[in-house]
Amino acid sequence: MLTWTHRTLDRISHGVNRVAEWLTIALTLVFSIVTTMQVFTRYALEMSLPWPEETARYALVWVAFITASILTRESEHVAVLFFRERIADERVKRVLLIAIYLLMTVFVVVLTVYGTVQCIHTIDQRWASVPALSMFWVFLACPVGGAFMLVQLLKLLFDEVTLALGRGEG
Amino acid sequence: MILLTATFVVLLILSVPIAFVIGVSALIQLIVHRLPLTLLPLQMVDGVNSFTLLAIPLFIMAGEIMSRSGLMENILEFSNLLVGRLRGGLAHTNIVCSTIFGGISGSAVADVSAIGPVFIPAMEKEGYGLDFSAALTASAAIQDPIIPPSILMVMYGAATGVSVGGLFAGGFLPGFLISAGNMVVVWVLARRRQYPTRQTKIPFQVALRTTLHALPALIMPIVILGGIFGGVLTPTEAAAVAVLYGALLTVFVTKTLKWSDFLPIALVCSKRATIVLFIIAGAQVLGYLFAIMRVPTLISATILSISEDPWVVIMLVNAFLLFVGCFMDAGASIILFTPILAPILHGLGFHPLHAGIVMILAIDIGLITPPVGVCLFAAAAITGLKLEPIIKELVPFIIISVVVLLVITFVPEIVLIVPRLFGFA
Repeated sequence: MLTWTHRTLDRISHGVNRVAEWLTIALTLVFSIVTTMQVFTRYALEMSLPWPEETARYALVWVAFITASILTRESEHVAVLFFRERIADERVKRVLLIAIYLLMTVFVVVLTVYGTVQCIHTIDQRWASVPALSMFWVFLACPVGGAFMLVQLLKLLFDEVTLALGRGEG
Repeated sequence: MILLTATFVVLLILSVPIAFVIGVSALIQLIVHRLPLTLLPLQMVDGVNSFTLLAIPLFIMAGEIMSRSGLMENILEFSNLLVGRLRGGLAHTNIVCSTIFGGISGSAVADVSAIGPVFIPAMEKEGYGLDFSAALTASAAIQDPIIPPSILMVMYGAATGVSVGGLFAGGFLPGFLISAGNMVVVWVLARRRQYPTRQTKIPFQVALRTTLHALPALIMPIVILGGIFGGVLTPTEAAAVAVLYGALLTVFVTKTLKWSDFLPIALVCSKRATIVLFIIAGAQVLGYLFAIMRVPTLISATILSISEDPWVVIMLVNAFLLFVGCFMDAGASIILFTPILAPILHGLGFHPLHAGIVMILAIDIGLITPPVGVCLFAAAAITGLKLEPIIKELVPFIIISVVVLLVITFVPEIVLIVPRLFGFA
């Protein structure tokens, strides 16, 4: 049962991370190309298009929330590790880590739930440059990124807890 | 206010990631003040929804393209041509190389990881000692965030509303001052320790060829800075042009990169950018709460009750930022503290660009100060050394950096001459 849960969680977290990586790469290329294009149209063709800037900004918003899940999975969010590294007892360290993951999970759940609410609030707001598009698609970055982070955190939590229990028994 | 500070400090010490320390502290305050929790996603999205901030991933990408382009070797040879004949030639070359790389990339850690693997083994072979080589590479790298373009300056501009182009111009001379300071330290140590020098004279033809080979890389800072200082491009646009230039150069001219190489580059640069972007997102919520709780007024009143002398206040700010820099990430320090400190300094009559460059340098020095300094860590990782021997060799470099900080604090003209020249001040 435990190994089954472990394997399933592993697979889901890996799959979600693949999606996150490709989304991030695509969006990063989008804002790089769109921003360069805007410079070109402004100076070479002397016409100022409003949509490239707005598109690039919203792509950046998506990158920030989606990539945050990749950083979570790889434990690459910066933290002040000075004190944690000075804890000698491995078990205390593990309990601390589990507590940190739990706290992050609570935050991410709030972010996802209220991000969804915020998305629904903004359904009738429109892009400034492309009125056909709803701001819903911009704010969607928040619950999607939040949900991705939640998956990664659950996987990390499961790993740490099983390790801690395994140790306790041994 | 007390609850906010307490949760913040406790979570930080418990090693919760900084972005989540900020997010959770803000969330608690939202609940305490009975504000709608939808403010959390709303303000977070708002925090990153900024054209200025787009410059961060773009400058990271330009630097990443250049460090993968194979052009670093050419910059190395060119720097060696300039200063290799001095005693401790390779050490001086390392510094000059960082100065040039500083004009391309905006990040000190990128500098260490691009220059370290090339220089540290070469320096060790010439008998410099691994600890000294690591310390030098780390401290030469702190020029990067001061020599334009600079990611820390983009963040400072976004956080305080000060012109990023103006900050770039303001960092120009202080950046060279750090470079010169480091070279003085090397000059003194090289004499005392009898460091080697390049014996062979380089014939003119070889010198010419070296310069020509370095030219494509040297053009990049000219394009970036020329565009911004000339008032033609915004920093974000200049960053985009730098990416385009780097891409065309490496794909079509030097043929060191293929189009498919840009997929991993995009991933790496979005990850590095998000480390700060996600902190910025959370800080936006906190900033919103600060305004409601009148935190800036409170802090400003506290500081001004200690002293109203501008020089005392700016020295207090410097001391505070140097201390914070010993423990905290440079980007996070900029985002959290400078929006509160900048208005106080402006109110005391400091020019916004002067106050900005001083605070950015104070925070920047934190990249090499123990116990927590990312450049120090990066250099340690490359050499496999423990921190202690590197820290010992770092001491004179840290002292000279602090001296430069004091000089630019008390002589604002060093910061302001270049911005005045280009109409930023």
